[in-house]
Amino acid sequence: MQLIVTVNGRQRADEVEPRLLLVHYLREVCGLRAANAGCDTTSCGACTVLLDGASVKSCAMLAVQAQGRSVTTAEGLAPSGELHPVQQAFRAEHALQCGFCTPCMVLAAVSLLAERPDPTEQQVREGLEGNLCRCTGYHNIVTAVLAAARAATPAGHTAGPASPGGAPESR
Amino acid sequence: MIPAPFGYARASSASHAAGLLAGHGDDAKLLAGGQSLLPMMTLRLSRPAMLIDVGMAGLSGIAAGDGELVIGAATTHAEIASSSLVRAQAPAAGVCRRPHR
Repeated sequence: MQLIVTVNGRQRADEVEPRLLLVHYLREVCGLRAANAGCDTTSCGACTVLLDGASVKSCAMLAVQAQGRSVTTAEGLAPSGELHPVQQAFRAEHALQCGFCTPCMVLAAVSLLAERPDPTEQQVREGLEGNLCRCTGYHNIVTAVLAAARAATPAGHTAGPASPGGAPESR
Repeated sequence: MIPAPFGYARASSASHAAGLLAGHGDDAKLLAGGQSLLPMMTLRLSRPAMLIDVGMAGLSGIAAGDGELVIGAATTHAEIASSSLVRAQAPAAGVCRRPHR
């Protein structure tokens, strides 16, 4: 059936089978490889994308369910080439190890911060709980999300993108 | 493509969905969000011949009535958890943690 969907700001029309999962549509039809198919059972969150701005797991969604909606992958976060503030914070805080979960963590963080711009550390940890890091590198991920939140709020740091060393002591 | 092939119909209203369901009988399953059904189909533990998608059938939404709170059958947990109406009128329902949608 015909699928009309906006992917990273560009409207597309593709003929797809109903059984095509959104993650496979993005990877194999659109050629966007940031969303990973990790567990296929919604456990790991590696396939997280934004659907109309809110995080969803694209392995538990048919492509045809995105009809008429807007999907953003990590590739769409930096259309001009300049990193998104959350991406900048992940780089500054070294919030990745192998990188497999990174696109989904960044998108889950973008969704979380859109909903809750100034979260506590506990709220960040709860907000990201559907996303697994198989390197167990959660500490720096949480630090990066808190840094991104501080950089974006008026009371936060104003001096440039990354604010290294600004992470609260949490353990 | 991991799930087995199936037919797909997008219901535009509750009555449309009911008509489709009556037409397809036990071969059909309703698809709301898919967070439970689709992983089951991906593992091929479930192989419905027909999916009737009620995600765009106008069944979601939260409204306050006279002494009651009406939550549509297709409303997501996330919508309920972040709803100020729910927080004000039925805080117990809003304590579900912020899930992925």
